[in-house]
Amino acid sequence: MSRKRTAAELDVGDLLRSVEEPGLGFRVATTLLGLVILSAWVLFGRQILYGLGVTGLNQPVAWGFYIVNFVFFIGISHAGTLISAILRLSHAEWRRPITRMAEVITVVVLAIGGFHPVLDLGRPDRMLNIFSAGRLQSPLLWDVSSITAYFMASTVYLYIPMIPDIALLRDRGARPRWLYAFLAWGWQGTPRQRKVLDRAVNVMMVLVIPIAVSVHTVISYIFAMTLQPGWHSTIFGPYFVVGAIFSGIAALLMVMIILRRVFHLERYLKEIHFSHLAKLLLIMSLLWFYFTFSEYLTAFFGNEPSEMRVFFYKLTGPYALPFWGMVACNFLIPVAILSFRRTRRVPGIFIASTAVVVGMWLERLNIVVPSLANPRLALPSGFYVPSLVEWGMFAGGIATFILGFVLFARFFPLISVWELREGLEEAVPETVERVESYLPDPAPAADGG
Amino acid sequence: MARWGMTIDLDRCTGCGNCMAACHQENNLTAVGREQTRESRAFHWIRLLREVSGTATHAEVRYKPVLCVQCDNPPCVRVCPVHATYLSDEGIVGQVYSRCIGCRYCMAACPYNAKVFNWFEPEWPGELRKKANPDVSLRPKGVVEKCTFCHHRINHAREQARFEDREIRDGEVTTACAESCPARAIEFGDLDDPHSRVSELARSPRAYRPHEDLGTRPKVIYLAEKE
Amino acid sequence: MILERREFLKLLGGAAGAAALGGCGRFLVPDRLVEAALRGPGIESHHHTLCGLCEGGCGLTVRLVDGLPVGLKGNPRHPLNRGGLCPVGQAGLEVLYAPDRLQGPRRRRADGDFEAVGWEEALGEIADRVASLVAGGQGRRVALLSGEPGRLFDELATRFVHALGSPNVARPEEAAALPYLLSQGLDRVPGFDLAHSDLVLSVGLDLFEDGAAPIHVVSAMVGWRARAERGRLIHVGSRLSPTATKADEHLAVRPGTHAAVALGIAHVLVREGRYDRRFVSEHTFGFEDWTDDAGRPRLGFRRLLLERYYPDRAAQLSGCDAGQIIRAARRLARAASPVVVWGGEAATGPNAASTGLAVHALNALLGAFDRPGGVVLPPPIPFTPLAPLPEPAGPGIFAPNGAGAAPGSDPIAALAAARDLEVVFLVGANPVHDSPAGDELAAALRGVPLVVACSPFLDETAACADLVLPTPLFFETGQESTTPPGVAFSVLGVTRPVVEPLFDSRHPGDVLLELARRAGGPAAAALPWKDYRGYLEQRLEGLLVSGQGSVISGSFEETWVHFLEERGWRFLERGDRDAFWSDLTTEGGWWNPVRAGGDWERLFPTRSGRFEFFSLELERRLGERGGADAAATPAGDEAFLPHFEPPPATAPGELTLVPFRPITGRGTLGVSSPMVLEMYGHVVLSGWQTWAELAPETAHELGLHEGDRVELESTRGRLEAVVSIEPGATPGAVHVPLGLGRRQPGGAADGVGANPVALAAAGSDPISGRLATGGTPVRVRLVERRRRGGPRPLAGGHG
Ligand SMILES: Nc1nc2c(c(=O)[nH]1)N[C@H]1C(S)=C(S)[C@@H](COP(=O)(O)OP(=O)(O)OC[C@H]3O[C@@H](n4cnc5c(=O)[nH]c(N)nc54)[C@H](O)[C@@H]3O)O[C@H]1N2
Ligand SMILES: Nc1nc2c(c(=O)[nH]1)N[C@H]1C(S)=C(S)[C@@H](COP(=O)(O)OP(=O)(O)OC[C@H]3O[C@@H](n4cnc5c(=O)[nH]c(N)nc54)[C@H](O)[C@@H]3O)O[C@H]1N2
Ligand code: SF4
Ligand code: SF4
Ligand code: SF4
Ligand code: SF4
Ligand code: SF4
Ligand SMILES: [Mo]
Repeated sequence: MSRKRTAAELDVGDLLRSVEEPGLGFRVATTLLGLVILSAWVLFGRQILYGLGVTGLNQPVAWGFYIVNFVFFIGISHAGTLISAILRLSHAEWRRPITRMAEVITVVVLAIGGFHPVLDLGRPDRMLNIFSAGRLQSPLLWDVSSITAYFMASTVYLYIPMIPDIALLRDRGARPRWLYAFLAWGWQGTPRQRKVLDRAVNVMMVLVIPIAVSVHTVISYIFAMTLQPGWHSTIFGPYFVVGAIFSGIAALLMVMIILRRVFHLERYLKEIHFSHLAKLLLIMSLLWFYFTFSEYLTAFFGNEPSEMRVFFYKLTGPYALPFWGMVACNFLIPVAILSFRRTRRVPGIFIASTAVVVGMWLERLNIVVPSLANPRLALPSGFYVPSLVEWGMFAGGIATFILGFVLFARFFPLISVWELREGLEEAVPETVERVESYLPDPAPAADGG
Repeated sequence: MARWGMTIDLDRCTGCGNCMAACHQENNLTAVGREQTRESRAFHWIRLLREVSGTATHAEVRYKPVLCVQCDNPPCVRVCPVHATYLSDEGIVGQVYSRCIGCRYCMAACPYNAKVFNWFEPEWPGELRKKANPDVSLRPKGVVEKCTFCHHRINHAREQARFEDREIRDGEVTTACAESCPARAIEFGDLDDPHSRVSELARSPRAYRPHEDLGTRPKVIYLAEKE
Repeated sequence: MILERREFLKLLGGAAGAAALGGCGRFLVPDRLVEAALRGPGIESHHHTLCGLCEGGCGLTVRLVDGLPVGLKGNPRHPLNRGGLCPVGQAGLEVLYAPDRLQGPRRRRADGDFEAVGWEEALGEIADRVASLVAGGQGRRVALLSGEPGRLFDELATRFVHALGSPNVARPEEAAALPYLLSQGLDRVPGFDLAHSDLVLSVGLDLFEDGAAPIHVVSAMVGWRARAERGRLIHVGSRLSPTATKADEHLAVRPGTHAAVALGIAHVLVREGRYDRRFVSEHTFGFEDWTDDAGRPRLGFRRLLLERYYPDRAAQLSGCDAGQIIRAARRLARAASPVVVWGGEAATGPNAASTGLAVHALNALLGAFDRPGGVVLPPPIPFTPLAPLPEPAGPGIFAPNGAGAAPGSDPIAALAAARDLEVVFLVGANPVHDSPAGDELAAALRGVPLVVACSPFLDETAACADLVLPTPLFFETGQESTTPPGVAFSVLGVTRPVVEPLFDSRHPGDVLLELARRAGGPAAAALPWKDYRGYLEQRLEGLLVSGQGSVISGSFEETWVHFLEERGWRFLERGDRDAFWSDLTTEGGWWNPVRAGGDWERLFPTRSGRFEFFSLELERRLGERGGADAAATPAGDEAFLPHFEPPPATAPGELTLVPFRPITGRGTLGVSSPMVLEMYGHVVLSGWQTWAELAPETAHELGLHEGDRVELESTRGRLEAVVSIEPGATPGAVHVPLGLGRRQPGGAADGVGANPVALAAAGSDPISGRLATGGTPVRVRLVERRRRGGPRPLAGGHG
């Protein structure tokens, strides 16, 4: 790359098209998604009116889709902020067109996932009891704290790097003006402002990593802190975090591929971006397999009767399909596709990442239900079939996720304009300088001195 | 202070189920009906566990009444986010129906599957509500409930004792399930009183505590069958 | 304290009056006040009453707060249940408040629906018809069937019918008594002193759940295993019932082959000379070969046993193990006070009576009569005798003594087959549901001009009536019960009302007395009492006069009873009649555990004055029928001796249907409680449905799994049930619970489950004439595989 690149090359209008020229598609999409979400709310209303009995939950399987989806969505949320923070921190230059989308995923999906425990409450009207009568010793409270912190941090972390782009929209007269004027926070792009912004982003990205790690760790603790077979495991913390990042990357890839198609972003999201992320996905897949293998081998080798009932419930029993489906989706399919350069291209990556998203959802199902379905006492084992209400809420969750993106794309650029500009202007010399700094220092001059 | 406990003599129990019925009536439980039973949502605070052992040709079936074993180290209490289930001074794990948010975490955490959830508003067909025991509160939909060791009876006895300016005595109070067991398989009393009937039985070589290995320290103690 | 409730009700004057006048008469206490009463610190009181939901006669203590019943428990002082109850009794208040209880008399309209009618009009209509029948000398065209538990009511009902000039009065369930009549000469089931036996052999009878008074059995046997001489139980049966699981040894037999096991055991006892020789020689008849008056040599029981019932053959006939039979015999021989009881599934087949004879013969071989832990006669209850009233001459529709030897002598079948009946009373029984001849009875009742049913509910039988008269529940009325069959001491339960009647109902005794009064003439003269309570008071005065027994009170600790037995009981102090009546009804009854021993005439009122292995009575009856029925019974003397009658054969692919009564199925009213329905199959984790228990081998052969929905089909009908796989059950049998499959619109049980009696097609017992409810060959067909997530797997998995 010998040619000198300038910010002027960037077609800003192209990047802002979804904001400045929202088409019919936007309205159609919002309406359809709105309908799905409305139906979900109607179903939720029914659930509040009649009780949780309208779901397929029962005894002993007292947790089902809501908790599965809670773990799943919160897992996806690790896509964003965590990945973007790690990439920023490690100065991975290819991050620039990706970070914004990743961060949006986090915020949207956290809001959805965070609401799921409320769906699951028998008495959502008493939700605030966790503040008025909260017990900090309960892992559920750890979750509430951790997710709240993560949501706050992620929102700030999404917002701060958006300020220059919002100011750009304000300056280009995008409507509604008050929105951009308010959100731009008087950004003028002065060197002082840029310095403050840089520092804020740096602080946030360092802060957000431990919070993100804590989130899925304490979610795993909900299960691991009980004595139940299949749950009571020390490996659960890291296992959940790895799974979360794994599913997050996969979701990010899916989102990128879809948005690239919808908004014609091929010039910004290039094969190289996908290839890099796909390699990351491959590594996570192997890591996931390692954890899964350790987890199940431990249970199998210990051969404790109650553990073995859960074990065989998954491997050969009623949950064989979800279990082996999970293994295929999380390991066999991604490894088969991503290990070879020939298949590690956008279509292949799309298949692999879709498989991983599905597979990780199955993993959450495999964790939550079989342990509950196989009580320690010689009770009859249970079976869980979600009702229409739970499927409806699942659809509502996904629709909310898509709607989140549609709305975001309608009001804000999906790719950070200023970061691309910065990249074009500064990245090359900076990278050259950085790479040079890695290289051995020149040998001392022969003449010494 | 008393530490309430129970022994269940499996050698005596005939599996008649009257403990289930007595508890149901005493504690204002309601039937969930045909559909909900099919959905596996029937609930009892005490029920009969069916244990099958032996070989295919010579099967042994045993019925065992199971209820909340009132752990001294209760896993369910540890996980509740809102103090809606707690361990009382006298060793009874209670439920605060008016505070419970219905998260069912305690159900998931109880190794004995002792807790049950009100999936719907309990139904009292016809005039049945008139027979509700006035000493036991009715539960709304969406909360978790379980055996309370009939603590309303204990409270009653304690009030009487206080009125007479003395400590509550072993044998003064018993639970509905113990009281109406035709085989007198269930004993209830003070485990801290070394001379109480339950303490004596708890020292029997036949005595065992269910899943003691979990460290839950149950106060419901079974007496194994002889022969 | 009942007065307080009256006071309370008086306070409510206006509202209550309005409610009563409004005709709904539902609850005299307005809901608002009831709620207040439930919430406030009410006035608490406890009253004793009796559970009237089955014939078990358990004592209840009702807890009332401000006069409203809010709880009940077993009466700890009651000698039958000593504080225990069964789930049905425990549900008493749910039955009391059942939404479909009849609120007043109902009359069938021409279109078949029922309309409300006043008591005056209803009683007038019955009285007119009865009076005109009597006036025309047609009193025989009245019949009455009673299922009320107390003997005093039976005597009143019998007197009523006889006074009208009709012999037609019967109880549906006296079949179990026949073997005792044929062998021992008793017209009822004797007592079995299980409490003091060290080894009980139960043949077919699930002692702890089934039988007349299971809760009494359990409470009598409390501690039986804890005694120094550990009490043991050997159970013979085809089902792994809870009782079988409690038995020290379970002999799993093919349905209907229990007699073979009993005879095999008898063989071992006799061959090894380990029977009670003294008792057999002094008190039995027909053990050795004998010569009759005509000089013909007759077969003795010993020879029959030794020739025909060696253990291997018994094992082959029954499907159990010869070693088990031998071991059981030796244990019986070794035991100090063994006793053998019979019933349950062994009494449901068409060979029930001969099975009963075979089983009871063991008691004679073991010399188990008239000793602690054996077969005993409870002392008679000294009721005031009634003025004699001659039984109308000539044969009635029902077989004499409730036990005939002719086919069709089943009382329900007889009622269904009777022609020219004009008035039929059905009191406290539900034969349309409970009897294999139920459908025929329902059809026949349609042809009877006036059918009167006394029942708290519009059940299947009441639905066939022209007039339905609501009866109060036991809480609302005085309840009585007399020594249930099989109990070893005498007990009389009698109580007063403990709650205000909810509805406009009348005790059937009061109804009959009112009708007698209106009929006038001999009926009015024979039944002169003002009301049923007046009748009871007069009959019970005999207790006071006799000085026997005592009002139930005090403790039942074994040591205390022992003390009393040694030192003599403090008999009733003769005193004031009112005080006695008050004590009696407050405490809930009277009992007398003191038996005079050695009264062999009373114990064996047979023609030989002995226990008859060779039943002269049976010979007489079969003789009257023109000799032994060649098709049904073995030829020659074997027919009159305990012997094995093969159960109905099943074709390949057929199973034998064995109905059984779970403890949740006691009586016919229990299923009005949603709780009872929910825990109907509590031991197989099944509720609100009928299940079919299959042995794992049988299920495997049929390709059936736990939770599958199947159809059972016999030549008479079909039913649907959910498969429950029972390890330990006998292959080739299918066990289905009794009591469900009710048609009672508005009732909790309406349309829940299915009734196995509707499939009964095994014919009738050649000895008793009773229709068999069990032993029917059925085919089992899969209807629907268990939905995943549908009905849960019922059996607990692992150990
Ligand atoms: N080889 C062989 N095997 C047989 C049989 C046979 O004849 N031969 N017979 C079979 C039959 S019929 C039976 S019933 C079984 C019996 O077999 P088991 O049930 O094994 O009976 P036992 O060996 O008599 O006693 C069991 C144990 O209980 C202990 N024990 C005694 N009293 C008490 C007590 O109060 N409390 C406690 N906790 N323990 C107590 C005894 O010391 C002994 O260790 O064996 C069966 N197995
Ligand atoms: N000292 C002492 N005494 C005891 C006990 C104890 O533990 N100790 N236990 C008690 C208990 S629990 C029991 S169950 C009894 C058992 O006492 P027993 O009834 O004496 O039992 P076994 O000694 O097993 O004898 C059974 C007989 O049946 C025979 N047999 C086996 N199979 C068959 C067959 O198929 N056909 C025929 N024709 N015969 C067969 C055997 O050969 C054997 O002779 O003993 C009791 N007595
Ligand atoms: S009431 Fe007593 S005998 Fe009946 S099942 Fe319960 S514990 Fe066993
Ligand atoms: S048995 Fe279960 S519900 Fe009862 S105290 Fe123990 S953990 Fe809690
Ligand atoms: S369901 Fe209720 S009692 Fe149980 S953990 Fe949740 S809030 Fe606590
Ligand atoms: S102790 Fe009381 S609450 Fe607990 S099972 Fe027994 S009757 Fe029910
Ligand atoms: S139903 Fe029968 S056995 Fe049950 S409590 Fe009532 S009288 Fe006793
Ligand atoms: Mo034995």
